[in-house]
Amino acid sequence: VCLAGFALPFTTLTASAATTATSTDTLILTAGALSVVTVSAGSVSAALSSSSPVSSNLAVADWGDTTGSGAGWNGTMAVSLFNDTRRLGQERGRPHPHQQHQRHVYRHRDPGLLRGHRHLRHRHLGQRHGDRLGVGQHLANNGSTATGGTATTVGSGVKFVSAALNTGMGSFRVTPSGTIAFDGNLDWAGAYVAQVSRPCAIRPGRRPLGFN
Amino acid sequence: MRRLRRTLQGVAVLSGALVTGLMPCPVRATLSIANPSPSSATVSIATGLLDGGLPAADWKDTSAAGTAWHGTVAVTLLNLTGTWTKTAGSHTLTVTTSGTYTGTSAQAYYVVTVTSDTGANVSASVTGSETATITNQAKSSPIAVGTRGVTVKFDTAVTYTNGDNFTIHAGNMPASAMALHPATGSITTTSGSETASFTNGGTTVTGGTATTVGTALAFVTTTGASGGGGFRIVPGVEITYDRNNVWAGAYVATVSYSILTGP
Repeated sequence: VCLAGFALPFTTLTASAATTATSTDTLILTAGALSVVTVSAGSVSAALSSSSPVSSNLAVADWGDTTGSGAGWNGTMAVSLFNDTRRLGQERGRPHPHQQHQRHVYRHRDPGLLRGHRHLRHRHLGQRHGDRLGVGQHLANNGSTATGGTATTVGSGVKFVSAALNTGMGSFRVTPSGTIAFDGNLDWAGAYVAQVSRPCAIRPGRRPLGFN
Repeated sequence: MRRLRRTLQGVAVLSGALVTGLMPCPVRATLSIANPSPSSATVSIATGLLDGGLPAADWKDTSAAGTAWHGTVAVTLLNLTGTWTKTAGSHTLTVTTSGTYTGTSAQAYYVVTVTSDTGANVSASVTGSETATITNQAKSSPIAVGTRGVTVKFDTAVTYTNGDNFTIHAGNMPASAMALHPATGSITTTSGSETASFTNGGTTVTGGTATTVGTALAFVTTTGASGGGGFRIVPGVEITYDRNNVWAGAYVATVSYSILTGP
């Protein structure tokens, strides 16, 4: 402002304006979930004449914890019986007398024809393949037996991996390994297949959240 | 009082002269920022990123000179300092807040386990992101837990027992977590004929520390126009985080704006 050639600072006559301002930005992260997704099936080949048990990696899966809670979690495995359906009604070139007319259902009804139902044993649980397993996450129950259920349903779950409190957030690729026992005198040559189910549970020993 | 009255009369005379007898003269450019509104957004941890906006504010150029101006933004780290929760034992904390976590981990945690309590003083072990020992410290004030700003305040009226256990989650997202993202920002003209546009899209707004803002980055520029102009501006940003390495909770950053002359 000018007064006959004399200038007064503008701010002496008006309130000064702020040229800076401060506020806050908040990012609220909400809890995700526990998850397990199968990556690939496990498979192993062994001659009937070889010694039992045979070591095998089991199905590979990605385990995830995006709950952001640090509550810990555990993973269990449950398996059906190892089942070879291709043997039904076709043994050494001739139909099996009990399977001629009940080819696909007979195996459920006559336990004597359930070839290859075996217990899956996982012993090498110290071996792991994870992208982030660290302190607090570990494989558990080395040497325990995962008892098979039936040919079509899985048995009881056995915990094989767990994450302690305040650990285990993120995703992990886990490859459990074990041994599969068989009897070369009683089993057919062929593919025995078991279902493997892996629920994931919050906190070791707490409620399962996954499928079973 | 008499002197004050004389002074006020003098001002009145001066004001009258300003209105009736003065010639026009240049006026200093007046830039301002006002009414910043805190911003908040919610996203699932599993998503991994968020495209959104920083606090909206009113940016204004009230000069008649038509000088170009630009705006800058500076931010602290996105900080989570949770609250203490009892995880074992029978005694609780009335004050569950902590000092601001100043470390570099996005997913830190501290577990304090009481070992003894004399009534006035407490001893405890600290585990988790840091390992430390609290030895016979007064309960009357917050006690440092480790070296990264976290504190715990025990109740003076409570005698804690061996095994009382408390946990807190904390973290700071990386300094590079935030980048300008004009697509999710907005510029609304509120006055004048100036034109404003975002700049430096995709550039990281580097966070400072948990408590101090980092280097300012220009995010909006104007052409300048006679008569000035005003805008309500929401700077767009993209926040990226490691979903494997964060807690569920509220990460908060302080946002500082400045308005400066020049394009």
